[in-house]
Amino acid sequence: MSSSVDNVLGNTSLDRFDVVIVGSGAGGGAAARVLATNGLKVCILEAGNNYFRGLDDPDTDMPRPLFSNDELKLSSRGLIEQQAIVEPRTFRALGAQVDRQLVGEVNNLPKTVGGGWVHADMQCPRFNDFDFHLHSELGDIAGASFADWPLDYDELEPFYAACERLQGVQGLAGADPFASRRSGPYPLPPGPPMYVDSLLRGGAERIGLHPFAFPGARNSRPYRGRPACNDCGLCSMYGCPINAKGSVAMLRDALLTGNVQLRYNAAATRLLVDSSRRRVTAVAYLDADGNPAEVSGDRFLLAASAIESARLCLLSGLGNGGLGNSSGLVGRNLMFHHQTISVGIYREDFHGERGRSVTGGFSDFRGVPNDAQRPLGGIVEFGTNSEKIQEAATYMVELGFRGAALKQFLRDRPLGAHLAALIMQGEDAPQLDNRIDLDPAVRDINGLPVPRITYGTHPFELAAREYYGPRLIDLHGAAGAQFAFVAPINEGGATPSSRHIMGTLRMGSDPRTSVTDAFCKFHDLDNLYSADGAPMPTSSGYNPTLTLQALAMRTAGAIVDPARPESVIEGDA
Amino acid sequence: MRVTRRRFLGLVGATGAAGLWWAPGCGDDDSTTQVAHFFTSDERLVVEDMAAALVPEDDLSAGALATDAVELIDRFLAAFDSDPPAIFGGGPYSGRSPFPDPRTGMPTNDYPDNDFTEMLPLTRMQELAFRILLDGDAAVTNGTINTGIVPPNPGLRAIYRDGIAALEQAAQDAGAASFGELDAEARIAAFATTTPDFRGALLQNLAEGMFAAPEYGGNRDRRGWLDYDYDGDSQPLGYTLFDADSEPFDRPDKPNQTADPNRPARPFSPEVERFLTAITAAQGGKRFF
Ligand SMILES: Cc1cc2nc3c(=O)[nH]c(=O)nc-3n(C[C@H](O)[C@H](O)[C@H](O)COP(=O)(O)OP(=O)(O)OC[C@H]3O[C@@H](n4cnc5c(N)ncnc54)[C@H](O)[C@@H]3O)c2cc1C
Repeated sequence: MSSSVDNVLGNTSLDRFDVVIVGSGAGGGAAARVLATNGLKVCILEAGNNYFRGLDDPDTDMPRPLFSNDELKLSSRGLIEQQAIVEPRTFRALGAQVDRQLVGEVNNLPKTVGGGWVHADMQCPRFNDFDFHLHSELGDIAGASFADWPLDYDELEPFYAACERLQGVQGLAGADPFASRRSGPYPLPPGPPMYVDSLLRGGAERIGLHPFAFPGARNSRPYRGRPACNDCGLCSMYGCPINAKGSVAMLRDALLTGNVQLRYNAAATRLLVDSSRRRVTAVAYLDADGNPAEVSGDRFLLAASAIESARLCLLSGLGNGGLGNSSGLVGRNLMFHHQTISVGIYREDFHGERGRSVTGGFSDFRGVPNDAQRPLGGIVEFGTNSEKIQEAATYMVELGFRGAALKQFLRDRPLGAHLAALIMQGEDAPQLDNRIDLDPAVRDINGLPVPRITYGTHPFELAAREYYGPRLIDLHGAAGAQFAFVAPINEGGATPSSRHIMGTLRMGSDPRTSVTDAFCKFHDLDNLYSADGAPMPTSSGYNPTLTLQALAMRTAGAIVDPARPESVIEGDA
Repeated sequence: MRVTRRRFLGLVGATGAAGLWWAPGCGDDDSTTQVAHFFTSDERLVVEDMAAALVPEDDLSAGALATDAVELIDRFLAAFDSDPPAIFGGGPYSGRSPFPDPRTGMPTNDYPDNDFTEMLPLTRMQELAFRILLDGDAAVTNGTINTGIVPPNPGLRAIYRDGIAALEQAAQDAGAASFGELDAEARIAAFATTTPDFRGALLQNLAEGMFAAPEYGGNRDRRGWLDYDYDGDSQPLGYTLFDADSEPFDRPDKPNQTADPNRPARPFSPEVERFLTAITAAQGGKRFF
């Protein structure tokens, strides 16, 4: 089954496809698994390269990743990152009367087989019950476009459970008193807490909070053919050298069915439609050598991540009042998480290069809707620094130390081994005018218009920041920090630094106020679906990937069995 | 009290379980493959003299010279003179850390090969990106597609060549026969007269040269990690070991869950403490003690 053809994984002999998926990341992999295990023939187009040797090889030793504990390769030089020098994005602040204020990197996610889920640190909380009907809870908020989801938590629950089971999420049911109901325990117990986690947990408990072992899709025991995580420390921003993360677990299941052909180094450039203008017939793409190619199929799933999926629609003439966009909403309601990050400096050495980036946190600050006393914030992660080059560059490039003073910082490591971070994933209120469109002039190296991000912060996020920021500082004090402060809002003054990207193809039951329907199918097209973070009407205050995967599985399930999508999750694998 | 390299090795040797499995030399890069360089010998000297002033040696820890940080830069700028280009090392292991025993979880004497020395081939998009980064936007088709909107990019090689020339010029202007004759203070003053692009590149690349995996040419003898309390790469052993029932436990020599006795809590030096006090105040934070 294992392919020997360059730039292709899976069954190379397939040439007719029931479904074509653009993007092999978190959402695309989840959808592919449901489709392929139910016998549908799937072609996946992936813009990036493959670093999982033998991903389609059934041998139990496989895959053997080419990742490593190598900061230069993964983090500084960006092996799997979208390289902004050839694929820039542009940014302008909401309200700025200019075409753009920045050309370069704007909230990029990796381009590689497995997508952003490869270098993620795999935090996997579920959203809360009330996240699915926030508009009803909050009412109208000026300048924001909160909306209820066209489904509720209970409908998504079986898909959450399946995602956890198939990827191997570790966690402890009941440990988070604010979490919504679960149909069963986590498939794996929590792994060992990092030293920084133990200290911050103590601080959190001392000020009356409810910390817990953060759920995450990394094996804490050998599971489904993958080894247990040995806590090598270089986790966030790194592909896993031993494949203990669940990054490509579902993608591999899909490939092993024999029903999938994954073409990588293949970047989709346009969706082609028939004369009815209600059906997509093919996707045009650039192959590994940059030559144009096409693949046709019966149905099409966009899973290129919220910004790139919306860009592909716009490149295809969907949007701008055109095809597939009677609502005029393609690209709008773009959301990130508004991270409030409180930095604590401790005399303790946290040796962050041991552990798995984040092992603990709490969700007390997610709050409850309409509590006049407390705004809606987000789940909080306990983190520290594990990267040495990046730490040194902070002293050298950003802070400008030289000579003996620099040596003192390099040895004392105040912003490295002695730094603990509390990261609140604050809800980002949706706004119509926070959006991606095509930059009117800037092109990528292939000559295609790049995505332009227009974004402004809403008072909703700032209220949570103001309220919880000082509490995060106090937590550091209770945990033994010598210094603590809240880091400034934006790295580089552009968008929030979060790589949680949502919105742009909002789902809803009314075609006038949404782009996609309750099963993430485009209202205006008969065979085009969204299977990444794009359909989410609201961002919630939890890491989004498990939820976008559950949605993608449900969409794929509905393609297989529209009446009972939850009955086909397991398929035949 | 800081753990210098010698002290560090002494401590590791003292923890019985650790044995020799972290000893120097195990899995160190002994490859003799030919590597390409960019600088002329004169240029290399200027960069080294500059680096020595920016990150000097002292009694406690290596600086840019002892870590051979400039070697990494020299190789990176010549990356395309090798095939595959010397940009991304292979994986998953360096051979510095052994496999665990599947029954006990404890380290074995079985070390993997060093994959880091096997450079990975580039994709079309990666090649375009690094060609522009090193040789400038005119070096590839469509590289100048956004000219007029973004400033021209001359590439790192030209930025280094020009930066080195500017340093030599500054030395001449100061009446010195060569850049190396300037004392550290004068070298840093000369550095301040160079372009922001050169300054940013050299500082970032020196950080890489001191602390990246040794296979890229810098971080000689892992002085960048050993002298500055950093473990470096740890796979396939990692820090959590598993017993026969797959129950996890910490490594005896390098605990994950608790404080490391070899890296105890300690006060910051007065200079660092002053800085922390100032940024905490500037950000409206709190100092607790
Ligand atoms: C450092 C880091 C840590 C993170 N940690 C977490 C975490 O702990 N928990 C969490 O929930 N989230 C985390 N995230 C976010 C997470 O990575 C994303 O939410 C998730 O990957 C999004 O899934 P997706 O399917 O929408 O897109 P992706 O996973 O990004 O997949 C999209 C895929 O589409 C491909 N693609 C794009 N354009 C095209 C095209 N034109 N043609 C073909 N293919 C294309 C891309 O190459 C990519 O492989 C993290 C992100 C980063 C950067």
